[in-house]
Amino acid sequence: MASVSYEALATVKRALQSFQTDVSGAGFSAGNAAGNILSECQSSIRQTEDAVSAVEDEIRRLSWEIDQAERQLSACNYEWGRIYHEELPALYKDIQGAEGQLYQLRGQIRALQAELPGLEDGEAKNQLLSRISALDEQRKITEGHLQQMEAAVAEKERRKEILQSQIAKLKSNLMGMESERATQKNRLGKWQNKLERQKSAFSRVESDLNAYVSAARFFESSSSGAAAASQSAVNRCIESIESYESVIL
Amino acid sequence: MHSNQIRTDLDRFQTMVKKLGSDVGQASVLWEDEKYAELSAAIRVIADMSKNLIVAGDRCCASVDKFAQISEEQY
Repeated sequence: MASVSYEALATVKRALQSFQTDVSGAGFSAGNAAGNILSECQSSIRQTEDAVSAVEDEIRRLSWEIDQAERQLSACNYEWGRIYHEELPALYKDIQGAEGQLYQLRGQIRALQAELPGLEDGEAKNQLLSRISALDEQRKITEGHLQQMEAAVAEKERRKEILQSQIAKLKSNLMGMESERATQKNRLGKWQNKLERQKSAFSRVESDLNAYVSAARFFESSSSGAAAASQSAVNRCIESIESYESVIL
Repeated sequence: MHSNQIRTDLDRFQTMVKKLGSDVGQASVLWEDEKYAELSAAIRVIADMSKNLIVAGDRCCASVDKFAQISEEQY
């Protein structure tokens, strides 16, 4: 036997109507949220990819600079070695030879000059003077040559010191750059690892969002359908009561 | 990046189902025959469907939060 009031049916009808209104758009809202989240995720992945590229660029830049510094260091070492092992020994040897030659020339000049007082003016004296003049000229040339070689030694020693300073600086720079490159390689590994984990997590997000949106759409259509069916039944009950109440006995 | 929008929607879905159950429950005092039991059963089906949605939403929020956590890492 039926036992229900009009008020109860009206209350239920309002509740079902309200629910239908509320649940309408659940699927759209879920789809909208999913779209926003996917967009944010993709943006975040792009940022990580940019970070990976930036670190890779930095490593390439450092590698190029290290390569340049190594070339410079090699050139400096080569030049320093050439000066130290070849040019300076050759110069010192030549200087030694010139000094020996000068010693001999001076000795010869002194010996010839010593003969001068015993000679009377004439052909023999003129020949002796001519020989002394020639030897003195040779002495002057050799002294000039010796001075040039001593200047060259000074220049080579100065260049050697500059190279030593450059080599020390390049080695220090190289160490710093190699250390920085190692740091950047370590960073790159971390960024690449993050990117891989992000992509993996993104796949999960995509899958879960699809499931969520499907569930929201199913919930919207199914619950709305169930509410509509119940509301239709309630409406028929209300109509029956109204029909009953309209009968005049 | 956050799952706030989904959480807000999930709260709204839960609230609307609870409100439906509560409103229909209020009518039970004035509706005491087997038809109310049928209506009540229909409402329970809706509530069960909402649970599936909530589970899917929670799982989604967890995966989104996990992604956000990874995204915050800086080196």
